[in-house]
Amino acid sequence: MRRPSAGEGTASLRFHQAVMVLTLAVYLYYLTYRALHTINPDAPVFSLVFYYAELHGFVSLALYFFQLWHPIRRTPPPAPPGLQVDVYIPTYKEDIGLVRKTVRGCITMTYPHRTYILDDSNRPEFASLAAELGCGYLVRTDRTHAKAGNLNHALSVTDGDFITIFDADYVPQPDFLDRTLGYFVSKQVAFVQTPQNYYNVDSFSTRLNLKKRIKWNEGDLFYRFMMPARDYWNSAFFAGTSAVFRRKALTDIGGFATETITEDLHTSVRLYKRGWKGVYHNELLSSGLAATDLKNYHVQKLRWAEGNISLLFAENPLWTRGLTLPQRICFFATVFGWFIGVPKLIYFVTPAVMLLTAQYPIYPFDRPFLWRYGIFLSAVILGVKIVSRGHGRILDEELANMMNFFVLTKATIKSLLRWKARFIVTSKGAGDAVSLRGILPQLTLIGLCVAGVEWGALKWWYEISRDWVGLGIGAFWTGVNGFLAARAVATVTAPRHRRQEFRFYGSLPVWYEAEARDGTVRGLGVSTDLNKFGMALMTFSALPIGERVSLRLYLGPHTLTCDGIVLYIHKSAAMEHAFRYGVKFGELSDTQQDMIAEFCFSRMLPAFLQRFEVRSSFMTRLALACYDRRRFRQRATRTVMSLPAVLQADPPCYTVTEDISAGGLGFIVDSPLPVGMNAKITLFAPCGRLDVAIEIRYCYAVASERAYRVGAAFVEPDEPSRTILRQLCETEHPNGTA
Amino acid sequence: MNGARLIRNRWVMGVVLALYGTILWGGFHWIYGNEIELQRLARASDTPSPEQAMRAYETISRSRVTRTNLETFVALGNLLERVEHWNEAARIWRLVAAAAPEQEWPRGRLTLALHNAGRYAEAETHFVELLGEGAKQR
Repeated sequence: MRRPSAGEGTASLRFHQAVMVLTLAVYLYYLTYRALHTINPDAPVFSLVFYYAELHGFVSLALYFFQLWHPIRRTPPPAPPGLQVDVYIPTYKEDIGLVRKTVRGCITMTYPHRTYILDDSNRPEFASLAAELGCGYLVRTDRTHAKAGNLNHALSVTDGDFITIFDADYVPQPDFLDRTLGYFVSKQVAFVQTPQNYYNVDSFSTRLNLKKRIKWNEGDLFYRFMMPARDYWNSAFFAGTSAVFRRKALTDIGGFATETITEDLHTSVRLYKRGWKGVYHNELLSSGLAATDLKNYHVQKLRWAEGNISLLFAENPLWTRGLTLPQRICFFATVFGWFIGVPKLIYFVTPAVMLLTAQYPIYPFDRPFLWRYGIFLSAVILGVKIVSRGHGRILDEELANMMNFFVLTKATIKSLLRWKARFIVTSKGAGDAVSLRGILPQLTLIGLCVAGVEWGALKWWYEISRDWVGLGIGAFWTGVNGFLAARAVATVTAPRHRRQEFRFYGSLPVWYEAEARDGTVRGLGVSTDLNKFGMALMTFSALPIGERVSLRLYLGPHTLTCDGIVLYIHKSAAMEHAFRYGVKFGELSDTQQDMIAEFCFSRMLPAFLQRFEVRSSFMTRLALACYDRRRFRQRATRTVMSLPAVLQADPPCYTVTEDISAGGLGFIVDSPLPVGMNAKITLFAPCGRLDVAIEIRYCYAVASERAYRVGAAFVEPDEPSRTILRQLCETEHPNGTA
Repeated sequence: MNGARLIRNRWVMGVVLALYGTILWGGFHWIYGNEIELQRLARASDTPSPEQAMRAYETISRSRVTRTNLETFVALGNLLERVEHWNEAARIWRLVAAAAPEQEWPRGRLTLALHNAGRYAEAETHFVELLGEGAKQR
């Protein structure tokens, strides 16, 4: 196996390590000063409780930095041929439509393998599904040890040398096994874990800004940055899904651990104890469904927290035999991370309590304290920002903490009191409406913060307290916490499209034909989102609402012909010669539905996620911010725009532009195009049709060997074409950011 | 109507917040009524009546003096001095001095109050102590 390389240059690595040390030093100095000079003797308990929260923050930060000490980047070795691979899909209560997509995804993985549905509910329709799709179907008589028990049962009745595990909602990419099996050339490797990713980006736990190309999910920092960094310490761990195991390693430890409800972490610890190695391959090779409602989101969090904390009692990584010191620290960090509920609760409540009761956890709020506090706060924020290399979004993470603090506090208390935890399966699919009960802690906090701020203001107004600094700091932090709580409530109660299924974002060319009053309307349009039930269709001619429309969807190398009904026109998108409609498909066969699902997962999703992959470093962005932006933009920026296009070849290639400028354009094709090649392309724009010659400037894969992004320059366009291009680039397109 | 939808209704939230704010305002006046009255008396340019000052003294002096409510007791001490209730003022300055022992001025005020109350022996003790500490610092 090739030795993993550092993810960055030595100078950059040393710089980040220096920032870590400096930040921790400043934090430690602040804590020492706090202990010696600002513990309030009038409120010793309150003061010490708050000090505990700050101390907890220091330990968390030190553990976080330790894990990030040396991020590495791995290049996957080629998968050796002839390996015996079994793919397990454990399921219990999941919907058959959801599991069908996963099974289809597993079956279409290119490396030879056998797929098994491990049905713990013994449902006849799942047996039929397995028979229809040609995969194995395993059931057991008892349901002991939940998922771990299910996996162990499958281990006992199958014989593949390598075991791949996908949760019922996780759909792999076709090249999943090709990208991961190569690591097993090293006989010491027990498992290869890949990142978890959620495809339903409209879930409340994801922050998405298409225009700024920002996608944030609370798991991203962990799966895309922390786990690869932990790999340096040989302490990346199995995350429950999207991993490949060596059967010999699992047999060596007696199968998946069943003593805790998080079999993934526990199994990893046991493997490391036996001297096996784990590998983290940091490439998005599968995607699952994020919890779509707060209730299930909290159920999931509670289970993870209880399970992880219970590892302390089952097999404490700090003193269990066989782990290296870095492994002990990393696994303790994983468990310790779930204790964050209590300190967060303290942080959220303290400022309001301080204003309401006039009991200060810090005293005095004098100048010597304030300047130290200012330096400490700035150092920590800046340090975390720099060290996280663009992955850490403090506001979003605090928002996630605000959503979770109560559940995590509950998990901490339950685990410490050793109350028995149950493996509750998260239900997936269309979410329930948010109940007030789920957001009661945040609403209570809002009430407390409003009371605190009003109380502080009245004290100031009536001059009952003249401690302006104390009142000011208290009111500021109460305001911040109240804002976070209000944002959390607004986020989870925001009205969302309650579709039966998530629609994938991305563009594909669609041929449409419909009977209107003035005759037949036909043309090439663009679908900007899609699932097996319907799509959003952008056209340059008006379609009749409520009427049938004939459609031809160009799904990569396949073409799907079907009927649809135009349900509505998107009012905000209606502009001259461009219309956006909601279209519902007619009855599609299972094969047609599978074709759409396969295209969504293996083509649209990787292309969509690829938009958010490229990140410049903090320093680069800082340098760019100082640079003359206008000059920079004149040369580089293209308008993001989805226009249908036909690349004139044999056969013609139907595509959609990704971006366009007066000098060139970008688009996606199914097969690679040679750089330097000249071709002709026809673009369909609201202001007319455009036939123009192009020269291919670059071409790279966005979904390995399935889709390629092409950048091309226009070759001497004539004056009418130039005019159309200028018009296109000067006007904001209605679906420009789709 | 679903509770979550109710929360997103601006009118409903506006009314709830206004009601909540009013309840808090009322609660504040109920809890801090004596302190508010004390501050009003302390700010008044005319000398308040001894009855008003004693009412404030009787209600406020029952609570514990901490560093965070020193201002209230200082205002009470000043008020009692203005109405020449020196014994009560001395008691208040004694409480303030105990809550903030590192401060010299409450003990100075205590000494003066004791002197004005005719308790010269006690005043002398405190005064000598203060002078001794002052000499040491120099």
